[in-house]
Amino acid sequence: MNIKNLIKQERLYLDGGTGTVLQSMGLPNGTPPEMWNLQNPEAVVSLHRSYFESGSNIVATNTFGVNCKKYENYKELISAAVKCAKKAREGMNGDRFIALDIGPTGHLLKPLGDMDFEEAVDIFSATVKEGVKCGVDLILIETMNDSLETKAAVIAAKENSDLPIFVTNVYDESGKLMTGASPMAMIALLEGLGVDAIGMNCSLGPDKMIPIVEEFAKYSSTPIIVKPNAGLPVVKNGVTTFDKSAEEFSDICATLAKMGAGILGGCCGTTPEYIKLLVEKTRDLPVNLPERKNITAVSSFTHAVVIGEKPTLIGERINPTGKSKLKEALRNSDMGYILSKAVKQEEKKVDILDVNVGLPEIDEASMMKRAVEEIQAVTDLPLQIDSSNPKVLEGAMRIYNGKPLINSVNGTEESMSAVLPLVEKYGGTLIALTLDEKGIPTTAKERLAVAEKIAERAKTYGIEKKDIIVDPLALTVSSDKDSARVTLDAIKLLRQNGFYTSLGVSNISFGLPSRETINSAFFTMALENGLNCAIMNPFSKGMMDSYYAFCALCGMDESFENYIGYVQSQEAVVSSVTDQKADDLEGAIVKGLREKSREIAKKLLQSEKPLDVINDRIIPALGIVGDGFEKGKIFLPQLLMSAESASGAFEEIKERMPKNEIDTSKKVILATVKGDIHDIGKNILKVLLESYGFVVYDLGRDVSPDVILKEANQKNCDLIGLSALMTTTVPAMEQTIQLLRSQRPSARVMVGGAVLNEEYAKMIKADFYGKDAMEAVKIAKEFYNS
Amino acid sequence: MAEYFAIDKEKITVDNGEIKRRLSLSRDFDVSVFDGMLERVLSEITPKCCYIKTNVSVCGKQVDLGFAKVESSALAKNLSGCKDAFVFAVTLGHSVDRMLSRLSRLSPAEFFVCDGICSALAENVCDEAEKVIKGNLDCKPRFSPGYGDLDISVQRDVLTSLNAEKLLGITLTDSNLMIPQKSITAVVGIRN
Repeated sequence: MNIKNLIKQERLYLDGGTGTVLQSMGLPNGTPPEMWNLQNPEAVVSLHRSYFESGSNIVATNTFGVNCKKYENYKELISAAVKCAKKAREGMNGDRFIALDIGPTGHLLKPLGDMDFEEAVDIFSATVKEGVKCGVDLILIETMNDSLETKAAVIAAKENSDLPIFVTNVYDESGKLMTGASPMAMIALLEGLGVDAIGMNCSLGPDKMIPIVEEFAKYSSTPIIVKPNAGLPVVKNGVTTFDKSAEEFSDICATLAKMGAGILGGCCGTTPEYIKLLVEKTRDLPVNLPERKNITAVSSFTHAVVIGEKPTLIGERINPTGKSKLKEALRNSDMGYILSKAVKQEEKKVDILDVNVGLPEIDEASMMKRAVEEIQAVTDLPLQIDSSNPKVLEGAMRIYNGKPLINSVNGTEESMSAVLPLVEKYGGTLIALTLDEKGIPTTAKERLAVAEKIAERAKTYGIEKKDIIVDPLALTVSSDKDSARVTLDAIKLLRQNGFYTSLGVSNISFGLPSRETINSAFFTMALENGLNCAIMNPFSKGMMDSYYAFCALCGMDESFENYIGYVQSQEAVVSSVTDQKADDLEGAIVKGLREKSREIAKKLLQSEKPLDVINDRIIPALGIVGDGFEKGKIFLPQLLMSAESASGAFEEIKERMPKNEIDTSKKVILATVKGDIHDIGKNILKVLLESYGFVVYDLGRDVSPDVILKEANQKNCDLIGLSALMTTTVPAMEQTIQLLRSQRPSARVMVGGAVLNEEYAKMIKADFYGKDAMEAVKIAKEFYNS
Repeated sequence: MAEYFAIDKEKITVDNGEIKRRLSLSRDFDVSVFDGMLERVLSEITPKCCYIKTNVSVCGKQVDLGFAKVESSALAKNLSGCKDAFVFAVTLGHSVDRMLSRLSRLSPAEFFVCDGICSALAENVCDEAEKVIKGNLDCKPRFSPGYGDLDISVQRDVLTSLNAEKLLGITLTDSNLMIPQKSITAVVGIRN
């Protein structure tokens, strides 16, 4: 029978430990188990056979550590492994399946590690292709302790086979994955990807898995897999044993089965005897499969956000429409600005962040990918990927670490046929706009009809109604006085018909004065009619007042904790602003007070000329700090804080300076070279250079020579700073310099980093050597003065 | 085969001198200004250790660690007279890496301070781990890959012999950097 159907009707049994059993059969310590597929296949056949005979329905091929990056002969190993499993299956009756076992690559993905997402997908794809060729029945992705790597493996499986996919992750004692994901986050991610069975293996014994299985039973609609270790490892005289006997193990697993685990097996330390007892004790228990849950959720790499009765706030500030500073940041690829917007909204306690980088003059697809990666490196809020271009959505949905919110699909044929397949492939909760080829309907009933049309079509892609949130569109009242009424009625009607709803709330007031007044009132009215998600400005006091008051009034804020906290924080902000002395910018910079510097600069610019503030206040303050640093009275942390404060003040000034007065001629490109991921020194230098008014193009870390050359040509910049912290990466520095010499002879290179000295710098033919950041700033200044 | 244990945060002694060294501060600098950052770091770390005992033998510059053979006069000197040694790995965990990744993008100043504190703490965690591993044994000072002329390329063999990927979640980048970055491996020779 078909596995996908079987798991929905019956209990199935996986196998037990492989490595530990093979070791007991003589596998030498230090020899990877997969080697025996070639060196001692009889032992591997015997292993699989004993699990089949103990009652396992599914054995996993002995390929856990096999991938094309580790082994050149990976195809041979996989083929041999499948052969062993098939041999073991010969003559066995009943439902017996062979799963292709895929373990982690051994490399953590960026941004924490150095492996590219696509490289991981390629590695897993090679394994899947070979396994399919050899004739496995399903794919088992196991022992994954990173959500992003799990996603890469699942995508590889989906792109290269039609076989059922089982996924088990490693949960540690804290009940989360090593890189932070909760069970709810993993369930959201994996169900979005359409995986057939999900659960946990390794690290914990069955007793410690109880609370995690409880979570899965509560939130999963998908069959649940448990594959515990035989308890905790105990090392005595260099020998590892596990502390749960087969009896104890199987007893506790019976509890897990009663709780809802339908696919059971064992991991490290378990043997065929464990599986035999496990089968005996659970075989006759009534099958307890998870019910379909009606949960609407999105997730990041740590947690899930559930959409429900309590309104969800989606911060809208990362959207270039009407924001000239953001537009400029996008044109200059100034990630720092975008990230600060993300963090500031996070501080306002939004639940989800909207990310929209739609600007016609930039490469939106690559900017969106970059923005999603970078934003996920600074915040663990789930993201709303927002674009009208399906290609842009696709690139970002592929690499997003979690289950994203997608804005948007609409009722046109073009949109549905482009966007729905993306959600089927990558998972996501979808915002559906109630417009189609006929335009935007003028009645609530007609908007509901569009929503139902989209939901019907989405069903054909396997997308359930619960994963669609309908946006009935808030059109401005200034051009149609009935539009607010229609939208509110639409929200009510949609909720009555089983749809969750979302709105870009502030659209309602476009064209009117004092927009916040209208927005706040409309927000409350919409919430009262059942609005679930609001795309809004978390810095708007009026909107936030409405939100907190509404929640408090509707019993969604027990003991008014959130409301009181919110009100008290408002009072704190007011008192801090009135505390400042307007003329103490120098003091604020010297003391390294970033926010204060900004505020004071803002005030000063009301009465003083921008250039005067720079030359009479900021530069002298930096002089004091730089001087103190060289004399050993002020130290690097303080230098940095002061530089950041000066930068903050500088940004306020740049906003008020007429464009032609801003000096953009002093440019510097900074990069940490290929193979090196240390960037403290480079980041310090960046801050200092910016505080002195340089325009810095920061290419980040692990940057290859041709990328640096490209940037130098694109930005027409002839001063390049290279940083390396490891002796092994100095050659990459040398290569970069050689490339620049031959392709852009006008370029001058300064080098720095803990591993370098004057001698090395000369050896690799650098133009300048900066022994520390201040030295490098001097070099940059002199470069542009000569 | 490698033994594993979590390190009790309460037992970690924070060495202010180490912090000052990492942050290029003078000896009389008052590090209490960083107390807030230190607290944040301490709440994020999940310090753990795994170790094995191995036979070692030294012949000139050649050192046989059992699971690997290396050429290093510095290590040879450190292990001279030892018949066996402990080899261990400690890590502060992945949460700290994420914190650093975030700070590096938002505030180089905070990142610099946090990074220095984390590196100092990693050494202090090493100190505590060593105490647990050594027990009453008299041992040589710990020696890590990358010290002196001991090439960092031995790191891969060290981590494999410790099963560090499974036990501590430590992986290596293509240029032999450990992830999580605040991880340390070392050899501790046991005096005869």
